[in-house]
Amino acid sequence: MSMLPVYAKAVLKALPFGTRPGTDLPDRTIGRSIAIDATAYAGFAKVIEAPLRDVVHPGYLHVLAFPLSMQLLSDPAVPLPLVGMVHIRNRVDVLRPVRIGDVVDFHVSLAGPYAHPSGTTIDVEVTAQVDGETVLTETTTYLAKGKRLAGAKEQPQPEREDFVAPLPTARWRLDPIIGQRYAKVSGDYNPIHLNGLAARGFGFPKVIAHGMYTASRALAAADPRLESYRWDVSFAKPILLPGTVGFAFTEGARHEAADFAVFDPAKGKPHVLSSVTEVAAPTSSA
Amino acid sequence: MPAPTSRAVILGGNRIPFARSNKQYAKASNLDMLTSTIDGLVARFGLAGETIGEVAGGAVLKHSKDFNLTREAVLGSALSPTTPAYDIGQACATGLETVVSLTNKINAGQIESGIAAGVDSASDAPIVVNDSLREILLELSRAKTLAQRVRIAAQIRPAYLAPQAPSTGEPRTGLSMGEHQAITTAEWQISREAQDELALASHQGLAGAWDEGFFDDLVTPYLGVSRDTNLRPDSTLESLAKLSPVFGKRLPTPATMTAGNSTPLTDGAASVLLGSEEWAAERGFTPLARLIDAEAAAVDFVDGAEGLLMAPAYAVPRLLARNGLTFDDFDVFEIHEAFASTVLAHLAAWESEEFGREKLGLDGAFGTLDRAKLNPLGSSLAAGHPFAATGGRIIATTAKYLKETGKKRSLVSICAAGGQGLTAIVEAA
Repeated sequence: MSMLPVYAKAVLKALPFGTRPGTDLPDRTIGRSIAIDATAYAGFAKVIEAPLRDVVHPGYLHVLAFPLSMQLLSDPAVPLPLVGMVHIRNRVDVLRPVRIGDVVDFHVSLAGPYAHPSGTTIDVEVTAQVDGETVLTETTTYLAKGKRLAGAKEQPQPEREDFVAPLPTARWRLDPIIGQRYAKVSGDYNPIHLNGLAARGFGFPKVIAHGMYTASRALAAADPRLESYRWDVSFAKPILLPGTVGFAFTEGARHEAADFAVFDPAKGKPHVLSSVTEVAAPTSSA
Repeated sequence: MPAPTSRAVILGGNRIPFARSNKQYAKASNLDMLTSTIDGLVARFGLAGETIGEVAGGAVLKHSKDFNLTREAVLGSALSPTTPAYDIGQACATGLETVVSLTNKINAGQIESGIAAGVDSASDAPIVVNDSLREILLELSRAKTLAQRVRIAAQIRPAYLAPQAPSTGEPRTGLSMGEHQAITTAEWQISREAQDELALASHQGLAGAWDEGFFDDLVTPYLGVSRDTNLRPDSTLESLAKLSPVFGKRLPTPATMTAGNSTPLTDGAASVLLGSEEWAAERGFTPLARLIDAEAAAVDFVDGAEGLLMAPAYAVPRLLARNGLTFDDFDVFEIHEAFASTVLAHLAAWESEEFGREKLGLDGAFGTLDRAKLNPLGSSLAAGHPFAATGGRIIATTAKYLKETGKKRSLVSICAAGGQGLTAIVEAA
């Protein structure tokens, strides 16, 4: 499913720029069922440099649910403009492995709006099920910067710890077309990842890497070998393309529960901070 | 418990002089250099037209067309075309592994003779298109209709056309070998002076060996080159001290690794003739030495838990323990100089109480080796390091050295990409 019409709609909706009256989000849940296709998944795995295994990287399930998220966020009833929203946090609970060929039922709804020190956030809640059993849940947090809504709910903000850049144990050279390559396998054709002019229009000097590209690649590098786990990501400074970024663990190690960071090796500023924690697998089906 | 039967003996070797990359051998392929090297060995031992048990070879930087590199070299050589061959790959340990593998086959009675070889060209290196273009080209080859081809070809963007040059970078970390070693160098606090001293000793040792004619029956000139071109007999500590650091400049500690105390990219090939004692006796060849035992090790360098090139520090203690030997039982230590600081970090690890206890599970430090016995004829810092050729160079050199000096036992150690290391014990025959 191409995302271009959604972006076009989003741009239209953003005119005139500003917030809509009212604070209620549409409370509907939308869904789709998708069989995991081996060829399409292989393309994704290659771009994020994950080994092509039978078990699907959770970043790919995010990708499959993404068109539904965009459909909800671009709904005229949403009191904030989609264009200019920034993906600031992502939480995924991987409860059961999803395999190639599984038919995944996605259910997507919105939560919020929530007050945020820099504006207002909306959460996209995704539930993925296989054969009626919940295999993954995801909360994707988008920030509408500088937009305040009177009725936005208060929400405790996660504490941001001071980041001290470790010595990079790996260096990733990101070529300028990584935005195009990730767009092709994820369907996220947001122009700030593809076109320098569009990026400048949103205040970035160059095209920037998809946050979920970086996050998914970092998770592939951490390669957790846990039955079920929570994958938390917080997005800091965007990565300008082309660029070279550092990767290192700040706590724990590969294959285990761990904290790991993608950062600017020269300036020591974080790009994407991730953590994997073990969670107990559900004992009964959802 | 070394090999139950040690029939295999090392009879000699032949290599071409090693040349710095993109110089004299720039137009020579791996196949060219390997074939010439085998031909030189065949000429030296009068093996033209003979069928050898097996030839084992390999290259680290390999073109996909060279999927059968060693067999192709045999077909182009003076050996009988009925000589079987196979390729091996263990990064920089490839050359030594060919010797180990053929020795094992001879000891097992599977073959009576073998040629162990390795080659690498950093000049005639494979260049690949980037992944985006490669995917499109592969899709294009799978397309069935013109319309499909046009649609697929239309995806090609100018940016996709930039080729990817080969690098010595580790695939999992994106760091070059030098950058990895710089981290280890800093961790073990190896000084610039100690590295330069080791580099100087390497040049002096190799220059002395060339001057004495030691390599007269180990090297065949090639393309007008008759000595290793990286060799700088006139190097001094002062000249080495003037060089600027090239690796470790991004680390918080002072950078100490220079072009002088790091091995340059090199082109070259080397080979070793092996045979059973009976095979050698039938032909009147004098055994020089025998490979008694070998041990490989690997470390988890990916997240920085251990240094990329530290595996030999683990392999050697295991190898010596299995054979009931200590450093004092060795007359020679042939430790491949990927970087001067690699060798010095291995020595420091073996001398460290903490490393001995925590990493090796010993009561204390593993031991201190006599520096006077280290790389007596120089090593890779002076000779250069065409990756897969280094094992053959070292084995032929140390086997002849043992024979000539009447010394008994040599320890050979080679670090390799991917956090690996291969070590071996060679004894005079």
